[in-house]
Amino acid sequence: MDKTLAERAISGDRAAFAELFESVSQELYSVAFIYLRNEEDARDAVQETAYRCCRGIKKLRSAEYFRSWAVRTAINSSLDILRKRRKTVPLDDISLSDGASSPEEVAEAKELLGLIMDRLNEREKKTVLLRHLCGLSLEEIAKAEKMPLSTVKSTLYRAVEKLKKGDLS
Amino acid sequence: MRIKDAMGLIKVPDGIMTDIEKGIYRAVKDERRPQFKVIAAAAAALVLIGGAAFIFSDISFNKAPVTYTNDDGYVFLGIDVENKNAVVGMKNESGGLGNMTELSDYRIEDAGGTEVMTFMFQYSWLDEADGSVHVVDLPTSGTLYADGGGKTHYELETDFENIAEGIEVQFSLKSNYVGSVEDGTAIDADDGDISLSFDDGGGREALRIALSDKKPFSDIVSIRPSCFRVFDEAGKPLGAYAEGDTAGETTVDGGGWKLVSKEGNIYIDGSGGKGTLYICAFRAALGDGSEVEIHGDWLVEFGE
Repeated sequence: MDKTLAERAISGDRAAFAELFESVSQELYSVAFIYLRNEEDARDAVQETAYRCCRGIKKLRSAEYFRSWAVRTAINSSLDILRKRRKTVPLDDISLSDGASSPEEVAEAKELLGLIMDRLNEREKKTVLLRHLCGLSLEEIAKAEKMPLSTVKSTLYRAVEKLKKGDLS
Repeated sequence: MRIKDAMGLIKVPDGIMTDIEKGIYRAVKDERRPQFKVIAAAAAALVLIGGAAFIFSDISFNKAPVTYTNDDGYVFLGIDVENKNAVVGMKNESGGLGNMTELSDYRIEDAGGTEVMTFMFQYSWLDEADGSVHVVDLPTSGTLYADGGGKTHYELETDFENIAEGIEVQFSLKSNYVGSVEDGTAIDADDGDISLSFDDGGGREALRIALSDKKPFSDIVSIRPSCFRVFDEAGKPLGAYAEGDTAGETTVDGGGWKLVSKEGNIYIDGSGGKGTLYICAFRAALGDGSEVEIHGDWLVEFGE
């Protein structure tokens, strides 16, 4: 992520914000899709994330936190949409870019994403995404999510075990 | 494979930048509004159906109702046409009515068909100066259309000209969400909350109407459909027993599908055939033991 661009965005440069947001749009859409599992809702979540981030970026303390902050905002936007849903909706298939990937890699990615979507609860998803997508340390996750460090560790452990074993319990 | 790499393979749809730009545009627009203040549950639209007034707290097109303040400091909980939100109410912060011209000149056209649902709105707001609640009749109607091709369209029309002297606002909104209620979709009506969900055929909720138990009707204990009929694809009524009180259990076998009403909920279960569910009334039990009935026309198409 371009730190200078983020600093300009924090200082109120709208064009810089748009460029910055676009640079993380892949991650944000993917996060939204993981939670919402259909394109329309995921796009709504991205739009809501853009809205919230644009409104709140001036309060961001440091440019280096933009990416993880935007991902957390996308998670929260997705969860808000999920809570507003009154019923289960049919799900879209995961659509993957296969241009630069082998069929084996695409299949492996689909399987992994399916496990994340199907088998992790909301807290586990969030912890996994913050750790493995945003690269936050366990301490950073604990601070950001206001959870005891031990809870972060156990949540992450449980999530990884589920992904390994396909444990549905 | 690393999670990060797998996530990176998820294909981002064309047009995502448009969504981002819309989000930024909304943020910029909101920032330019002075004195933005969020008013939550205090603002609500009263709905009059068959003489009984209740609060419709959440009429949404896949979005939560928005709250915003106009230049005169008046707060509205309401329509954001660009984002397909619908008006649910407004609150006057300063006493007296504000200028609602921001809601004018919106008109989104769509092809219509057979009218299947209408409802009326009445707006109320709280005058904080003396605590009184003001109510204004609004000739507002919402209409669902089935276009005969399996698509359902929603239209909301409001004429604001009676709100206050000198204010004339015409509002018309039609969405182009399409589809019908999927098999298994439940129409829940319990815990003081009516929720009618229409699916757009792609699994996306196209319209939700919720009747909340917020003040001044917080004494609603339960609510359920009390009158409904089912029609087959040709419009023929299926069984007189399908009309009646849903406190018990009723099953309508439509051949390829089955409709079950049980404990205040109506469930449509089946994989074949088409039909139409028509609800003509909901019954709400109040805390003092009395009951009121909400009359209206709710019509839901279902089936493949």
